[in-house]
Amino acid sequence: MDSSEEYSVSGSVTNRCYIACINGELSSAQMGQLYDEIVRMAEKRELRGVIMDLNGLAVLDSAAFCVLRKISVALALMGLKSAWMGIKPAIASSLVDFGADVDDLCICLNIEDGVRLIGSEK
Amino acid sequence: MKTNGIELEKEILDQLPAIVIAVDKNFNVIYANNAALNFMGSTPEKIIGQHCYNAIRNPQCNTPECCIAQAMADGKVHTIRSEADGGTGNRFLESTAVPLKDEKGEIVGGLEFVLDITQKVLDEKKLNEQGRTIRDMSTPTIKLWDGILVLPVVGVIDTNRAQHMMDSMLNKILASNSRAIIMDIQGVAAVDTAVANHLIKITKATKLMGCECLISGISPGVAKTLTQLGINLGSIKTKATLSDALEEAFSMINLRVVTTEAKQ
Repeated sequence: MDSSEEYSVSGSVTNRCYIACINGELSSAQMGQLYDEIVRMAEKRELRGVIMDLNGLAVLDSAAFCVLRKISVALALMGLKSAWMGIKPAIASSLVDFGADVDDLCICLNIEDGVRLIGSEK
Repeated sequence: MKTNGIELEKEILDQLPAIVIAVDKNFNVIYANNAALNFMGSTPEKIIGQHCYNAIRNPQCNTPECCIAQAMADGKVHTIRSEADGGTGNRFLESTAVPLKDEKGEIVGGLEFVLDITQKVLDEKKLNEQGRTIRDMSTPTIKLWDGILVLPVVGVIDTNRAQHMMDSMLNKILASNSRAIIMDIQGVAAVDTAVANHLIKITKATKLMGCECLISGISPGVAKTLTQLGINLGSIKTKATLSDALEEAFSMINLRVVTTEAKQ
């Protein structure tokens, strides 16, 4: 994870959950990097799921939202659960305003909640 | 008092409580009425022929915001609001400028008249404050239990209020780390397509924050209307009463209410 800072994604593993902190702005290159990183970790550490911490995001536009969704779907295809965390009020209301489809997303309140969520249902 | 002619017109203008100033194309003052002279503390001899920006010294002087300059440039009426210290505390002034034209219709100068709208501005401020107070009163997000919030909604839900409700709820969720929020719509007079859409939007936004939104207080009438309008509330959890919703919220945070044995 040496190069993670420059892509403004940093992560750690706890309870077989990969917690990815995403900061700054999201580009598709960064998302590709994040996806590769998660997949690599998933093989190495036998991950059960991924918590995506979006607390450091100032803005989240529809393109970035779609990319994040695609990552969740791709992870689900590999049998990994993903939970989103730390969406700011302003981002939440703007996502709803542009009609983002949030129905099948798994969103948790904090890391504890997310670890429980990913660990519990099987 | 004179009965006709230019003198009469000047006297009338002098008795007007509004400031009236006329300038030529180079911003030299060609006329100022009594109110204007009083405001500037000057006499006609000192001021006629002077540049108006030297006499008045408004923050807008010599900037593109000057309404006389704007009026002379495009031949239209311009109005700006400004704040000035007139010796008796801050006064709010509204300046309106019109272009002066000669008989051929060409612009030869500008006329500005200024009204003191301090009272009006203060009233507007008060009105805004009261509006904010009412808005805050109408969207009280209350912490009901550790991890459970409740928002009783009374009255009419319009777009503005829905937005305010959403902001209030989201910020409270963030602050209190709550996992469930109950929106009680018992007091909402009517639920139509627009209101239902607002409710759906709010529940989606709270879900994005990681907090499940329960809607309680759906009366038989409202339930009937919703089905008749063909509105699908989808995956939103709805309950008839606040206590039902609270029970559901308790089970979501793994709590259970039990009856203890009665004391002898």
